Amino acid sequence: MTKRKKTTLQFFAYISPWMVGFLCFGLFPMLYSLYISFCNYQMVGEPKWVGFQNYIDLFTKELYFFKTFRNTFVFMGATTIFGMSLGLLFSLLINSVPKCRRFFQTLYYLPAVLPFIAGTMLWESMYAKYGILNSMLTTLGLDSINFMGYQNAMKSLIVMAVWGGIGGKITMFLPAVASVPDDLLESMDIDGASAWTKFVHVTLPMISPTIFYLLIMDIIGGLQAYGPMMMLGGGTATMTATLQIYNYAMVDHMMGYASAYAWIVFLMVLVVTFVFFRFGGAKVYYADGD
Amino acid sequence: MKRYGKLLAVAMTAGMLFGAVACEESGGTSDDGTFGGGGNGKTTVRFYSFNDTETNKKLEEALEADFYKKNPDIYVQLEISTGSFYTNLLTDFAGGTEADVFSMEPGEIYPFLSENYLEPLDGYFEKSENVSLDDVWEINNQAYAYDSESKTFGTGKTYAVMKDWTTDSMLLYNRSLFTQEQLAMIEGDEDGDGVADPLTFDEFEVLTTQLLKKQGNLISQYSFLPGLAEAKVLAQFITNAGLSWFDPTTYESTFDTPEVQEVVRYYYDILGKNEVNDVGSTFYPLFAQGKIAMVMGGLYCIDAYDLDNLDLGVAYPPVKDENTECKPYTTGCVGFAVSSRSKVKEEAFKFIEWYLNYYGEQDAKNCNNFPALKKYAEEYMLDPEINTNPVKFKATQLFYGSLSKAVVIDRNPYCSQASFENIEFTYTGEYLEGALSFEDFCNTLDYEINKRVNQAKG
Repeated sequence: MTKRKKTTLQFFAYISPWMVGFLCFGLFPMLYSLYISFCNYQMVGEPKWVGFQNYIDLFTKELYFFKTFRNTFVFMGATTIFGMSLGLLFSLLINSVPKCRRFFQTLYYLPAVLPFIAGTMLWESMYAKYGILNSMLTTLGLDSINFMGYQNAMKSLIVMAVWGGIGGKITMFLPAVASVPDDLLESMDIDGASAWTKFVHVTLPMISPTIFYLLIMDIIGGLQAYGPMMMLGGGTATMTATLQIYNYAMVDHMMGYASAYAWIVFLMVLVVTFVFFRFGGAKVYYADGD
Repeated sequence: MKRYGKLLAVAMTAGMLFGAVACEESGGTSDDGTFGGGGNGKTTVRFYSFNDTETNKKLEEALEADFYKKNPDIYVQLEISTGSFYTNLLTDFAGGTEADVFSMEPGEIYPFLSENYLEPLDGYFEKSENVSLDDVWEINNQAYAYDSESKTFGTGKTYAVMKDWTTDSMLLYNRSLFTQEQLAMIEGDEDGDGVADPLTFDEFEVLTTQLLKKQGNLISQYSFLPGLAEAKVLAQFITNAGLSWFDPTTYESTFDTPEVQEVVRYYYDILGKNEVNDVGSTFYPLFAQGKIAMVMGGLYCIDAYDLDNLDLGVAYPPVKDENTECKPYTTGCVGFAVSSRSKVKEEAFKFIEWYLNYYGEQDAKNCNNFPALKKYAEEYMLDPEINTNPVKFKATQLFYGSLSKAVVIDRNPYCSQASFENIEFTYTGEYLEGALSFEDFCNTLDYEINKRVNQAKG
């Protein structure tokens, strides 16, 4: 056996565990769900081929189809904007006090350490009618707020999601901010540049790879969000596309319909990610010139 | 590293293959019926339920204390569901890895019946020396007897047996709050069954207005909140108006009919005034704290939510008018079913038989719910020396009196109870907060139910 063949065999041997896992638990379920999306399948009996009917029904008859996508984009957009802004802001602040850096970094990261279910239940009790937030409001003589009512549910979820995600963002931003070369900032100081000018023209470009990465992760995660909505409720105010997919699949057992819905979400995420890479990637500055 | 590269590659491949083979072997019952922790020649019966770990721990102790001594050649493997129980169960059936015995409810049984997944239990009961179907409450027929030819419940073979039950949409009311407001108690009992007669919808509405108290914009005393899932209580009100939320022949929704819409408006007007959306799901704790005058619930609520501190009244759920029959729901009747493909059906039935007898007797002494075997209810739960809490004892007597009127919750074979509740839960908030008109709300319920019905019919 030639050396090249041996190397090739070794390569496939090393990647085979991942390949088998991907084929069994990634690719095959995806392709099967694509087939099911063209069927009427209730988890009992055999799938019945209906062609594009599920897709047609989704676009033409599904009452809240477009609203679920609107909710999805609102949630994704708000959590991304607020999460990134606050994460970057706190990172800059923490970076400005190097002596206390570890303390604040740990403090802000604590919410991320909390298990998702525990954190959500914590917020559920805080948002409750007789929870701590409303108790504070009524003590101050203000009216209580229905945090998970139709009018406020989405905002409440966004606050919770931003709170939970900020620690991770700070963890990523802090090293990036800390690695901005001091000599560049000092030269801007000599030129009399303001803090804002330094931030926009030096810091931001230098940390743009981190921003780009976090934006992509946030966008993909936000577009697929359903956990907080399912746990906290909120009805149609917080009904995202993925939550509807879960309901149709796991509660109603309408597997074909849910699969069609899922493929539409997948294509949407694909398009958004492609557009982002195509147009956003050009804005990223890489220090090595790539 | 180079030297060991080949060796490492072979070891990883072998490890991966071994893992794949091991995965295939685990899960499901092997040909000789043994699986998992049995061993030593014991036959393993897998019992899959939505019990929590604490309940299963008590069950395990009872098995050790009694069942295994009587059946030393059987091991009962207790399995708990994570996530959606019935979805997981259907997936197990699709994959051929279902348990031998599993929990079942009347509202979720239809998909299993339609695919012949359930073993009829009549023959096993006939052969049994310890328990007969005649010993079980008649409601079990309504819940689990099914004729596959006429596709009707209440007749035919028995595909599951309940473990316990109660009428659980009875009107529980705080008598102290009635006294405080100088209102007459709900006590009329013309039919002499020991349970207060139902109020009419009009009488009930007047009561809810009188008992609702506000301090400024805040509600200081709620008059009525459902207790159970809102959808279940809505279905109860619809049934007690002599109607159904679906057509009995087509199974399509009736939320587009004026009669049902009238009940819907009535029900949500009361809930809306009580700001049900604001309260969340803390109905019973608030009722226990004396903040709600009336809720709906079952006997088990007394222990579960410490209602024995209240001066508790029990009445039938309201009816549309005096000419409408009251049909209080049992929304539970959780029971056991056996897989028609199980290789250990006899042993599985021994577990069920034991549970109904031994465990049912232990449960009856706790006076929490009426056990499946009638005799234990009469022997223990109606004995004041065993059911010693006076509030609970009185409530037990009242609930016992209601059992003869009980009906199984209205079931749509093409839209499960879980689906109906999820639909109601999703859209109610938007309506109650004024973002959705009443007509659009009913149209949405109608559309969503019919979508599921039409999909399920194929």
